[in-house]
Amino acid sequence: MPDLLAHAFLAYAILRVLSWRYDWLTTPYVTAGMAGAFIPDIVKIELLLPSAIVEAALGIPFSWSPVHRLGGTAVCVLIGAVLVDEARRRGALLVLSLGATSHLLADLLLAKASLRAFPVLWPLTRWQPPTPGLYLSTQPEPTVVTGLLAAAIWSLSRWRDGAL
Amino acid sequence: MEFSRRERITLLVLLLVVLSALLVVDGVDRPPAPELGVYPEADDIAQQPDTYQDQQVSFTGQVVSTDPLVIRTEYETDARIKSMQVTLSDVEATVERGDRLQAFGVLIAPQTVRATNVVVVPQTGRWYAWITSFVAGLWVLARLLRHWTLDAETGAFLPRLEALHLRRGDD
Repeated sequence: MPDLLAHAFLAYAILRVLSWRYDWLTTPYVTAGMAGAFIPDIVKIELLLPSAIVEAALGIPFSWSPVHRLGGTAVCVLIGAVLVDEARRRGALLVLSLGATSHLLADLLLAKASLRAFPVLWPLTRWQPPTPGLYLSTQPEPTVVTGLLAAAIWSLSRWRDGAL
Repeated sequence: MEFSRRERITLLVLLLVVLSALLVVDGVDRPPAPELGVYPEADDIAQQPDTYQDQQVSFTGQVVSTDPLVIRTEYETDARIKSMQVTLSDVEATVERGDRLQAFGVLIAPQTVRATNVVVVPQTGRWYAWITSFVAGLWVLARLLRHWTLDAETGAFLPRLEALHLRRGDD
């Protein structure tokens, strides 16, 4: 993906703009959406606890990968929705899904030598969509672009709050 | 549907069980499927080099020497992490020892790949990614603490009516 900061900027930008259109989408929901954008990267636990170590410890097959795919992300979004009270559940479900989806979509554009991204729709299919390979997660450009976007939208938001 | 704390915890456990099931299912090794864009990787090359001879393979690793270009790649098999060295030929990009790279090409010998495409990730890039991700984590955590609160009785998170501020007193 772009790095996590770019993901957070992107989620912020999308949700803040939507908040102008939908009254229920207040700041806490913008924040929840940003948290949703972090969900797929929970997979990074594998850097501390490789799948092989977990397999050896538990004696069963194991892989962290599903967290960064449709299946695992959807379950994590549901967990988030269950964690809020009834009145906020639908809103939370929506923004968490939006945030997580924005992350997956941005990651689908990462540069790969094989020109294939990752099995984003797992467990529905193992298919790895082709990628145009726009950037690497180690490049600052996506963060700069999304950061400028987020800053612009934030300014616009403040102006709107002042004007309204 | 309003959940009591108990119901909430039960649902959470249920969802975690479902998640665990997914993590276990994906742990089962599946053979490559090039038609789906799932190319043989390091573990496949290491275990069955003859099967994948002359086929397109994909792997990542760290550069251990540049002339010839040799990559050390890690893979998981039998609940262990192993590594092997792969020699890459036909690489035009400039690489240095310690760089990480992704390689895609044709397996011409058990540990040699004729590269058709390579993506290089310099070491500084990895530091950058770590630092910015850490900053992002702090930023979102701070926002979550400011905008949400936990109702201990029901175990549910609720939006704060007023964002939490660090400063106290009149301002």
